[in-house]
Amino acid sequence: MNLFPVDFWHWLRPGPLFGLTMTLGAFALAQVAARLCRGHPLANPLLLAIIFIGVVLVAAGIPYADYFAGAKFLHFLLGPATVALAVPLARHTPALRKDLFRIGAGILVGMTVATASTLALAWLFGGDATMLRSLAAKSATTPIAIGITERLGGLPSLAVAAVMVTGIGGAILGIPLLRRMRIEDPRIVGIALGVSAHGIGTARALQFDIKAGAYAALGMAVTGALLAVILPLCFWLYPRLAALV
Amino acid sequence: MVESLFFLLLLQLLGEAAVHILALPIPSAVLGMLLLWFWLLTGLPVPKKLETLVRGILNYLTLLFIPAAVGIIEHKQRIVSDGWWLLLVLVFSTLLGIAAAAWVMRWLEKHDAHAAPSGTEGAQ
Repeated sequence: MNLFPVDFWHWLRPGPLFGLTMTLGAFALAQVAARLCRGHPLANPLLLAIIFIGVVLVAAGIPYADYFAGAKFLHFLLGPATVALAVPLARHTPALRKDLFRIGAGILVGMTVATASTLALAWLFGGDATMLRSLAAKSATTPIAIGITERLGGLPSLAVAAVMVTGIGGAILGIPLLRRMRIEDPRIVGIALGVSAHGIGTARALQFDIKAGAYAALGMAVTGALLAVILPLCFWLYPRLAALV
Repeated sequence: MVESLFFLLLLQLLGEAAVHILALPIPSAVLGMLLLWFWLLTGLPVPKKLETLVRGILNYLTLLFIPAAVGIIEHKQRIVSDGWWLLLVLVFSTLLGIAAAAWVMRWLEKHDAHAAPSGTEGAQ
């Protein structure tokens, strides 16, 4: 199916204008829609924007690569935006230092539970070895997850999709879940979202509270670095330990 | 504004160089964040408008994830064929991780005299 006249798409295709315009337009529309739904968690601007863009790409038969050729300019800004997270981090460093033990415990437990439960559940549902190796790094931020997955021998593109689903799921349902647990402390919200839902969770935490964003940035960075070291070690050790039993 | 953006990009560039030279397993941007963190903590001078730029960028952090997140549609075939269990497993395990981290931190706050008081939770 092709909604656009061929000529139209022919001259639009090589340029970045289409992907860039569509991303900004979809996000603006998604924000209006989210406001109309009075901030209901499921009316999440990121989720809505993905649905809008996904529907257009699939309906018009536009390959993702063509879309990304334009959208990559926004994607590129993730780099300096990640660097920028150091500013709220520095502002809250005195508070962080008083709380190091608790933060460390939260990061270790959250990271272990998120990763171990992914592997256990995927195995229970009959996921094969390649699947498990592709899902293991899902709580790491995207570039780290790609690196880990390559070392484990999984499929990097599947890993990126898993990372995105994880981030969106955590960003949409994380805060309602924490509210149900009667947790509104920005330090706990931040660590919990940053550890399990990496950058997208951090973006959500920033909207919740700037302090939560600072804690989430720390949780995201530490989790990513730890997973990069621990996961390859676990996947190397496991068959050797299993052989001993 | 230009100086501030230059500064952020420069730190990421330094991160990129360090990642390649030292063969580190973390992305250049995360290393750039750690560099800027130490820079700010040591009280070295930063561009005047850095705060303004940072607030502007971080306000739109969600927008910047859209291009990568749309990549999920590349896997619509797998989601349809492997069933919805894949989505369920990913989201459920994420929520387990969030709940576990939050539960531990709250438990430690109640049981560890060294923890900083929270101010948002009621007195026990």
